[in-house]
Amino acid sequence: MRKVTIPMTTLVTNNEQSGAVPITVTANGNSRAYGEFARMKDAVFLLDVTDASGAGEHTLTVTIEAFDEAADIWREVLEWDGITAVGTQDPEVLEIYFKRYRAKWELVGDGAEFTFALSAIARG
Amino acid sequence: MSITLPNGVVVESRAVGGQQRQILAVAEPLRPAPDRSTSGRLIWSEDFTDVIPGIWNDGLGFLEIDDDIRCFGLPSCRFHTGGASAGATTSPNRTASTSGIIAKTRIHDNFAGRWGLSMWFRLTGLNNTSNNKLSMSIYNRTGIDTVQEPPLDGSQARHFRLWLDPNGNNQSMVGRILDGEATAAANPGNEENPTASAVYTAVVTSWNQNGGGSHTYDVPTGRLDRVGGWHYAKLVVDFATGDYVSVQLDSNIVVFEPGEYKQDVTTSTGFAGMHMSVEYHANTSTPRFVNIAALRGTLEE
Repeated sequence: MRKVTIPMTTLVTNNEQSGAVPITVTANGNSRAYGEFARMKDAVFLLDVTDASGAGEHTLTVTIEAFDEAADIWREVLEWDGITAVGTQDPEVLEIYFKRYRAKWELVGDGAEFTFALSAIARG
Repeated sequence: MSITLPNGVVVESRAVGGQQRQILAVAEPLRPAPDRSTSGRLIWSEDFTDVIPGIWNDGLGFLEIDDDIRCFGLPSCRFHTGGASAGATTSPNRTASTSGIIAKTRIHDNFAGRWGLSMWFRLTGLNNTSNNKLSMSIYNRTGIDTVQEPPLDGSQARHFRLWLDPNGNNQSMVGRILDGEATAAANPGNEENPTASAVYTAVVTSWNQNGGGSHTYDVPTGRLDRVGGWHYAKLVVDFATGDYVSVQLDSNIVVFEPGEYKQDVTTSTGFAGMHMSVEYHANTSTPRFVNIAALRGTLEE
């Protein structure tokens, strides 16, 4: 068995020199696609929010999506929702049936800004 | 502990019931992917049989070990742009574009050896007959040399690159090398600028169709050819002389005269190690992918 750590906050505009862990976000977005999951059997996904701020109420939702190649679409397979404050979220374990995964984040609230580390430890 | 005998028999020593026992297990030995070249001593090999690639991508696209596209019974590796575009490039440039895939391994070496890099590759997805650039490279950087006598010029990158140009829809593929002397001559007063225009010289042509326009695998459009057609390429270079030594594309091998084609030299303050890499980028945001297999690094005579 192998275990691999896969940080999931690299943007589609980042390469190895410019990625961010953790990442600070002020708008909705998503990570690049991660092909590292292609031969994995399962993974634990880890989310740790270290900064949360905004002018008023502010909420973060982080979603893990998997790629459906035949339909050419991303499907939601895991979600942490309603995050309003700093905190370590419960780990979430998934069986890895898809080959390619990515992260998506959505923010609600004026001036919402969150900083978080998001990663997977995958077993293959 | 286990010992694998040449015939594939495995002898293992295990603790069983508190006693150390020797156990004979008969198993088929691990089978490497075939290599079309017979030259060189193997230094490293990547057959994509583990759970994660042993090569690293320094680009915006991504890699994926691909069990759908198998090369002679073993997995391959998909190079996917993920929709990243490098813009309107006319060649793989003097330094590889990070707006795609640069999949590499690195070895520290002192500019003394003849090195080879080889792979099988397949133009798998749609849109591989134009607006994309696939290449393989061996390059090293001098950094600030404190070892060699006389010392190497500081902060240089010395590139050898083979561009695997599909050359259109089902045309014969053309292998073009990054021609160092021609590139320097084309940029007077600006010879070592890494962003200056590159000159590639055609040195080898494949046999008939490149296979990029048919026999593709692209599930959402109904192209389901898992086999496709595999090309083979090998680049051999000499860092001691700065010469290209030979290029192979499929069954065609071209051996160069000493000094016939030279490395391309640019300024660079990047990581001073030898890189052996495969690069792929697209000129538009249309997602594209190719597959490679049996990536090998060799030391050559």
